[in-house]
Amino acid sequence: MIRNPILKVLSTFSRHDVKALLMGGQACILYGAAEFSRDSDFVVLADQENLGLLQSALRELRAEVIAVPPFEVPYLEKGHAVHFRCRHPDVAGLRIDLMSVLRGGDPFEALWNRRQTIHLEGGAVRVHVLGLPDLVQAKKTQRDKDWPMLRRLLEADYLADVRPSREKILFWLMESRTPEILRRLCQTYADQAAPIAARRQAVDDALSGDLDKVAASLAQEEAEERRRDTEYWKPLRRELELLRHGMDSGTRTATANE
Amino acid sequence: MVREDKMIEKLAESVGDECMEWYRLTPAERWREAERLWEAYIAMGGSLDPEPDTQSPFYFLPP
Repeated sequence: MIRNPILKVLSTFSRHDVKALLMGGQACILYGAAEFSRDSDFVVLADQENLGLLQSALRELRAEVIAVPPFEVPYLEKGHAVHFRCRHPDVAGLRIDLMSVLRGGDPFEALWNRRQTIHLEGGAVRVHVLGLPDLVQAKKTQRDKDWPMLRRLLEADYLADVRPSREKILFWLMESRTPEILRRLCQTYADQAAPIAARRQAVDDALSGDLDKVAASLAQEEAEERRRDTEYWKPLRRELELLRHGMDSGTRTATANE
Repeated sequence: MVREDKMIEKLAESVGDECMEWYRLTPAERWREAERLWEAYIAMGGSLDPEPDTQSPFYFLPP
């Protein structure tokens, strides 16, 4: 067993030139929103050449598909996640989850063009990470645990960028989930905040300086996004159910949450 | 280089010093710190399997 099993996955993907973007908990660590995660989630380019490279990397990790759906392009293109469990002794038991379509996200090439590349282990391992704005969109889910993470992603970014571009200021105004930061943004960048206020109630409230109202508007935003995410997954879950029932009548009964 | 102003003091009050220290690290520094946590986690016999996530769209109750 190596000291960080995720690194083994990242270095294997990198050596095989797999076009994959790290997302989920590990990306949240790099961006400052989490300290520890056992998640190993990637968004991958679902073309035949890349999936061939991916297959080679997964073979090296002795990664096997668990649960449903099977590792096939049509399922990835529909927005499903494919789940693997590694059997290589260095990473035995580690889960790898792959997707190629994100709810409300751009096509892979656009995500790839906005990626962050981070060098780890003294430059020995190069990691391509989903860009922060795309990670923020991906984290707007129905799960409780993603919402504090979203807030922290924005807080860490705000804290780190002391000379923000106009684009960055717009991003913060559109996405920040900390009332105090939104109010400060509205005070500092009032000209840019005014047009955003017409599209985001929390910014309108922040312009008036009422933090309680900002918090209430943020809670409303969260509820709406959670509802959208649940709706988005309904047909995909129905399809997974059908696939599971097919498996139940066969030889396997594995589920992704096992 | 990180932002330093009164707003940051308020943020620190809200999230705590530990969280602020984490925010101030670079991605590579955070990765090294996470590696230390991995070492401790594995030394304690921790599993690599993610915890069941009942709110995940991939979660199904056992048949």
